[in-house]
Amino acid sequence: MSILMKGINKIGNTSFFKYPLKALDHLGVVNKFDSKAWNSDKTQAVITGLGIASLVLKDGLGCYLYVNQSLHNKKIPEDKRKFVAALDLTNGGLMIALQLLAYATISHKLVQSKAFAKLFGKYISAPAKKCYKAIIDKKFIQKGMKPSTNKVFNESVAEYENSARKAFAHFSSLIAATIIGKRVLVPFIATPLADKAKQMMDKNSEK
Amino acid sequence: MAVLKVQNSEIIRNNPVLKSVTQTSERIVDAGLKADTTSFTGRAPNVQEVSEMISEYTPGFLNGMKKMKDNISEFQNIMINSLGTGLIAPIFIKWNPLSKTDEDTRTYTAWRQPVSAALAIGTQAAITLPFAHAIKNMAKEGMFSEKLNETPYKNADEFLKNLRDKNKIVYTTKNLKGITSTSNMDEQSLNNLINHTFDDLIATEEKAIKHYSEYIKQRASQGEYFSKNADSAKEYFSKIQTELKDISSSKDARLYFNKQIKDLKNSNADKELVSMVENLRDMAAYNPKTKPSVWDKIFRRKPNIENAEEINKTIIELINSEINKITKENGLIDKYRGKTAEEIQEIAKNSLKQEVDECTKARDYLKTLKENFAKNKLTVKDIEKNILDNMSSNSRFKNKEFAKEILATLKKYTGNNISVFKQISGMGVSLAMLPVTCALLNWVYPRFMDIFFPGLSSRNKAAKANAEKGGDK
Repeated sequence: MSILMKGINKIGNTSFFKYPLKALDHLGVVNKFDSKAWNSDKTQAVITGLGIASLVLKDGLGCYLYVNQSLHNKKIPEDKRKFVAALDLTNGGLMIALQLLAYATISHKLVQSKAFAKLFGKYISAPAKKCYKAIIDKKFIQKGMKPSTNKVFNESVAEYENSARKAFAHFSSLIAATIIGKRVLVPFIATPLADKAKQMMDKNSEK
Repeated sequence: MAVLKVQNSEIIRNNPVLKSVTQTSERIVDAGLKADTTSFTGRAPNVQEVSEMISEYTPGFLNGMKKMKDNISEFQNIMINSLGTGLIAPIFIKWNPLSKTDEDTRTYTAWRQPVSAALAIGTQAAITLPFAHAIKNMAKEGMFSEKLNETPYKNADEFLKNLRDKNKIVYTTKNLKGITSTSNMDEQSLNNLINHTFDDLIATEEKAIKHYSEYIKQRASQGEYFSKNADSAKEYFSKIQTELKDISSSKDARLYFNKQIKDLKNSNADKELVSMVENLRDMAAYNPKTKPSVWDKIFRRKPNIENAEEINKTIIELINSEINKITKENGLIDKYRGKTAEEIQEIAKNSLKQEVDECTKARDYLKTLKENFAKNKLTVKDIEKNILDNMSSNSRFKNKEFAKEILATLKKYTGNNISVFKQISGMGVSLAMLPVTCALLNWVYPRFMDIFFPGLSSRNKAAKANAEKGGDK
């Protein structure tokens, strides 16, 4: 663990963080296994749902706060204030739209699974695994060990596949949604849209 | 790294789908590779050793991607996100060809992004990340209620002993002052946990049965192709076998099969034949290294380049043995030659009969045992004894201990509870922090611009206007 992460961990161990979490726990926000237990699919669905709710709420409220504060910020030059606020508005709106789109496309389980199969399927197919087993078993025998049992081999290979899938999901979402979508597409579209939004703001203030 | 591997193997153990695929493919791989472990000395490798070896002998780019994900910290993730906001987004604001707003205003606005990114790094490191770490530590130390408490399985041996000897799951709870106390999981929760463990095991068997039936379908389609094209198939695969004699590396084999696939597709060959050749091509997925790759240099790995020749030999031998299974006397082609549709179905079904029978028996037995557990209030010890007495010959129960399955279920459910709790608290923290970060940005941003870009900010303009006014006078 880096020094920075150690520091963050230390901060998290203070009462400032522990008290509110303890209070939230007492509210009983998650269920036990006494009624309907969380299975992985249910958990994922809840996390996805909360993630969508969070982004709509967070980015929605954030957009409102930023626009409002920018418009009333006397420290921003008057001739630029409305454009700054207009860009906050279009940026916020597009950000919500893009993230919802990403949830439905690139980050979707089905799309992820198909894209992974298309790009890497042949490297983790049953015939490929058969070869990996033959190769690694030879290595184990050379080391004076027994070949891997099928149970252990399959568990290890499933573990490998699972973490490769997770890595792919992480990087494909990072590149497509976070970098290209949020940082390239959104500002690219939001900037000209902000021109229009500023014009509307000007018209409204003239009235 | 080791911790991550253990976590991943837990994910597989806890996930009925992955577990079912693991157990099913075990037999599928088995069919081609019956490793005779009796003639070897020494011990068999464990999951961690095999995982490490798999990472060494699978394509480099897959490992590189996996390694990057494994080694990336939460803070680095925030940094990547913030660098995107701070460095990429401003480019598309300032140099936006579609915008009609003057460049000064766009430049002024673009600078809001890096200022906002710097503030995001600060607030996330100071607030969001410590909250995530606090949850992790509090769950581990038992500072939450039972549903988020990870103490029962801190010591797995003790957990299993308590469950088997006393039929109990023991929680250690610690309050904010650091005082600890112990309690047992209530009877109703324990019963539900055991029922869910049964449900997971039954689901695993059902998934395996479904998986096998898909394999049977695949084998039947293959059989149908052989029944009608026995001679041409034999001729085609024999030709491949002859041509393979001139190929000595995995890479060349892959190129050769790719060309075969292309030719087959161009001549509109049967898709079953194409799929069989694709399977042979996939066996040459791993290309042994003859020199360190870019990934090796990036991650400072030392690949076993000296083994390339031996690995190539193994792969080619294996491909040949697969083709042999198809072409040899009484091999796959002969087995299906001229057979009727019903006969093909029967042969395909029989090829996996033992596996399907074992799964079906295991599923039905588990269903009955679950009912028995509810009716006769069986303890965990009773359940384990029942399984041992009745199912020891069924391979589906090989190395399966019910108490360990309960441990896995509890870990999974507690872990899932923690994930949801994290998401909810994260949402709360983000919402609570919004007015703060927003106010902070509004305070910092114009002042930052005043100091570093007075030419774009109001201070300079006001000074200019004053000077002009003075000049007029």
